[in-house]
Amino acid sequence: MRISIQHLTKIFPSRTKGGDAVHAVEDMNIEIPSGKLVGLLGPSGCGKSTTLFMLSGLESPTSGKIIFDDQDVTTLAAEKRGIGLVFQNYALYPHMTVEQNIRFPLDNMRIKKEEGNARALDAARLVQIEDLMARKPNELSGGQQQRVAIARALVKMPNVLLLDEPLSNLDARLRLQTREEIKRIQRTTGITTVFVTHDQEEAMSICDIMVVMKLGVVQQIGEPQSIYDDPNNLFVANFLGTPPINIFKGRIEGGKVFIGGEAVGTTEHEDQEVYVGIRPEGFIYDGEGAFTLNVDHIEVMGRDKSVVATHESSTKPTVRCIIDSDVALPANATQLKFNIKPYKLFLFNAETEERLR
Amino acid sequence: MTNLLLLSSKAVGWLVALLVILILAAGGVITWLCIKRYREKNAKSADAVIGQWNLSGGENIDVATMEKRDKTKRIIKDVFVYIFLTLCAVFAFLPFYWMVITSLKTETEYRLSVPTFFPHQFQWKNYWMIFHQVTSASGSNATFVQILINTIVVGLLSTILGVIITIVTAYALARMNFKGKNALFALMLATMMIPGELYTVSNYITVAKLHWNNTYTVLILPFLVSVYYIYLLRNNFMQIPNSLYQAAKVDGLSDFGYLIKVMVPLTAPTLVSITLLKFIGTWNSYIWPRLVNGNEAWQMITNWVTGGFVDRLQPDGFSLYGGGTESLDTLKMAAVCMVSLPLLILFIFCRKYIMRGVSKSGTKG
Amino acid sequence: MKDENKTEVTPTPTPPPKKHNKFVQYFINLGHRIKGWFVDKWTAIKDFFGSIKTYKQRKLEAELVTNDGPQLTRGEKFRRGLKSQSGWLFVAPAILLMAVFTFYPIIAAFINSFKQGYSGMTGKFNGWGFDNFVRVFRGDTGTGGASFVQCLFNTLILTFISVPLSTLLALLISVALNSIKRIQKAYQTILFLPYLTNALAMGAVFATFFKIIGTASYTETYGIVNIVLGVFGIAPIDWVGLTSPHWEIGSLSIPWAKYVVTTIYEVWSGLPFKILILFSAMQSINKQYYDAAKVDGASRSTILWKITTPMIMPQISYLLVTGIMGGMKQYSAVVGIFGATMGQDYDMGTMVGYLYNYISLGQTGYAFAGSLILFIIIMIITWINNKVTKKHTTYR
Repeated sequence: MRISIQHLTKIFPSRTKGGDAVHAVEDMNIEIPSGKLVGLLGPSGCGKSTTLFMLSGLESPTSGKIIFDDQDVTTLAAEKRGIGLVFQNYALYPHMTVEQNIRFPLDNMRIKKEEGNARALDAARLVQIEDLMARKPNELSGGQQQRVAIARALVKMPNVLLLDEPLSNLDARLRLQTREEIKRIQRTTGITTVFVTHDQEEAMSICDIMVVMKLGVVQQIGEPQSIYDDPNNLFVANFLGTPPINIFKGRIEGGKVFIGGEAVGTTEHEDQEVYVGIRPEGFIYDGEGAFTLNVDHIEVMGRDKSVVATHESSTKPTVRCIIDSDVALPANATQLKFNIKPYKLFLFNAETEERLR
Repeated sequence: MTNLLLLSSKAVGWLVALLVILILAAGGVITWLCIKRYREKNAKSADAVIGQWNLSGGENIDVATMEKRDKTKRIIKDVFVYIFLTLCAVFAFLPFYWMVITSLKTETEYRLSVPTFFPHQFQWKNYWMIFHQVTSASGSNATFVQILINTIVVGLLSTILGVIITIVTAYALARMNFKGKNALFALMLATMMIPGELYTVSNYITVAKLHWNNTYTVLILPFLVSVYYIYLLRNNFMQIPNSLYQAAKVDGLSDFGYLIKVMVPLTAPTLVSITLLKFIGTWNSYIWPRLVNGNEAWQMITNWVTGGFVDRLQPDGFSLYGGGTESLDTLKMAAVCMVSLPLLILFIFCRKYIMRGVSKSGTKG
Repeated sequence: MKDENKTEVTPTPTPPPKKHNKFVQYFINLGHRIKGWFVDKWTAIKDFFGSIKTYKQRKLEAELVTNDGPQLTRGEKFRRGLKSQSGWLFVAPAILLMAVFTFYPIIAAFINSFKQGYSGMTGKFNGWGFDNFVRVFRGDTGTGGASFVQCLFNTLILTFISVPLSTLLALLISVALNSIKRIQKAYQTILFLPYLTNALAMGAVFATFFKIIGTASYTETYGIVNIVLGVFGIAPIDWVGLTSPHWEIGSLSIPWAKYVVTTIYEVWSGLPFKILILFSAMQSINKQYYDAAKVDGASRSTILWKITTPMIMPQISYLLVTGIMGGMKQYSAVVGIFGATMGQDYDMGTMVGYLYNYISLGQTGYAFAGSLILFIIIMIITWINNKVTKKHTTYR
């Protein structure tokens, strides 16, 4: 199912009298091709969950359109859209067994009993919980509950699968496992899937398409790697990547990029004040390098090591550089010099924070 | 033999009743089965149903019509809900309204063949008349004032004493340590399971033997101890952290001082609930006073309201309709107002406290 | 220490600053004396309670004593032991009252109900046995009092009709209340109004709705219910009076019209509490379940019966049980509507009414037997309740 979101806007009236209305989503335009796994990424309060609920039909948009294939479903009720929704807290009915939970959507469709049973079992097999059918939700672990919720969403063969923060209630180990599971299920079923997360690592690892949002406004849409490599603005650059990108105050003078007094790269842009973003992996140690950092300490991680340093132009308290572990660094050095990989260096307008391409 | 016959005639009656119930139950089960059968028969194949929202390819769903239908459905539902709630609200409120307007009607207006929903003429004298009622079946002077004094004296005394006993007992059970405390508490809790009616007969004999009939004592003493309130307050006391006690000790507070200055204020909401419920209980007590205080002058306000109210010719020659011995409903409703309105007002103002106390016990008063 | 305290706190009557005449002076002195007396007593009470140690203190003291304190004499030990039991002093009033008015009556009820022809006042009886129970069930009491079978039948019918009915109605009202947004508070307030009422007073109000007004000196008119029924062409029914219609099965009378009146009253008075419990239970259900159900395509009735109702099942079963328990003990409502004789020849008698009837007739043996039967019935309900409620857990 192809999803097209056109000029979607959601404004919540203010709770208190005279307060400002909250613009949860503003003029959102996204085209989602069929059969893709799409992640809505952003910090909390950026409107990503609201978008998901508008897709599901539980919230109605203030203006704009939602189109499934060629069908305008903007005002269609949730149960008629053919969507499966997995809630953040799973919302499994506590008084029903796993089987009854999974069967519930089928029962509502008045489907024949035997057929319903077969389909419920299929869905359970898909998420590997066929042994737990007789249990009640409170007898299951978080990960198992998650699977039941997914099975319940999948059992009616939805056109679109929507997941609200699917991994946020799981512990770290389960999270890794489950996100691969979601990817696998999505691949097997080929259902267009939209999920919401605030964890950029999670989104980058499984998404086909990633939508980065901030305060209700879409910042960038694209494949995870391309967004990482080519961020549209300071916010996106900052939000993606662990450890996060290093940001410096700098300027362009005569085709050269200056941080402090040092020229770290070249550019074709005209002279102006800029923010300079350098990915941690963008530093190359060089005794004769162009960029000097004051070393605070060095963390050895095995595969690589990370230099924790300070710089007076940095907008953050520390600067992190990740360097291969086989690069020898002078012991007890208080200052180190680096060269910067040009494709890991991004320039942003100091006022608009937009990328200078 | 005759006994057996007697029993058998009764048994026939029971049998018939049982049969009726069985038939009704069987009818219900059969209907239910039929509905189930029908539903199963009309169940659809999964493929057909699941295909229905295959929005691509097939003909488009007419969203606008669908939306319109949904909206109409919602409006119809809302209308039904509001009508239903309004009817229920009227049902809940009508008795109060009827009680008040009837108490202000003249008896003649009350007896019109088409009832009026608002008094044509306010008959405030109804209230005057009930104040001057003297119920003298046993030759006593049971005026409203006398009854009110009874109720207030008994209410205050039993509330105050009851609350004190409750506090002291709950404190001992919550904070003090003595041999057999848990056994005692268990025994007390066990009595909560037993219906109070089991005590009544023995208590009636006890007070009669003590010659306590027609006194206030008999109205107060048997109901001073309420295990439920003790239990409630004890749990409240237990929730107060022990560190508070130690702090109070450091500040030089005696145990009794701690109880009065720390524990009581901290559990004030519960105490207010208990006090209110105790007083309401006294206000509503009917059975026991009637049983033990045969003399109306010693009875309580609820006993008073069940009596007949007649257009009694007053010593100064005043009467509403020239006197009579018939019990008049307008006068009775005036009396009912006198008893009910204080409760209603109390409920409106102290709803929070009353609900807190009652919602846990599931009983009133 | 005690004495010190006393001298400190007790105020000596100080000479008044102004010279009064003898008469006034007398009363001032009297006032001081009374005040002094109270302060004295107050100090004594305070000392007494102050001397009572808490468990922790005593433990600490005991440790001191056992570790490095001086060896105690036997008397000292005894005194200390006694002091640690001072909690009994606190509970003494409650225990005393309970012993007389609770514990003794329970035992007495069990014993006395097996005494044949027992008279409470004289304490005389003819012998032991089940005679009381047999006579109670057969109605062979020879006093013209209420019939136990009739009372039991009434109680059961009234309870098992009105409790499920009012619970169901409360459920529907709560659902309706829960589904609206506008003026919800106003409805809530009005619906809660009958929460705290005097059963006898409101019973009398309900009687005026149903009764046929006026005999003798005034013309006969009908209550509002009969007038409304008259609009639909139904002949007036004497709902609460002497000519109230009833069916007879054997010696059992089924005054259906009176049942209707009582049931309506019971539903009216029982609704607010039930709405309160169910409504607040519904409000605490996570909204997400409803969203999930909506996505799953559940219809309105499916949501009500398959989501909402099971979720508040613990509250519903609680209401049913407390309702049935209360129903078994009903009495005031019937008296409020039908008067102290509970209808005509006690045809609206309840089990509790039966007890009081036989107490006032002086036949305490039958009253004891009746109360024991009531006790057994309530115990059975409690037992069933415990069995059933163990299955339910709260979903919050």
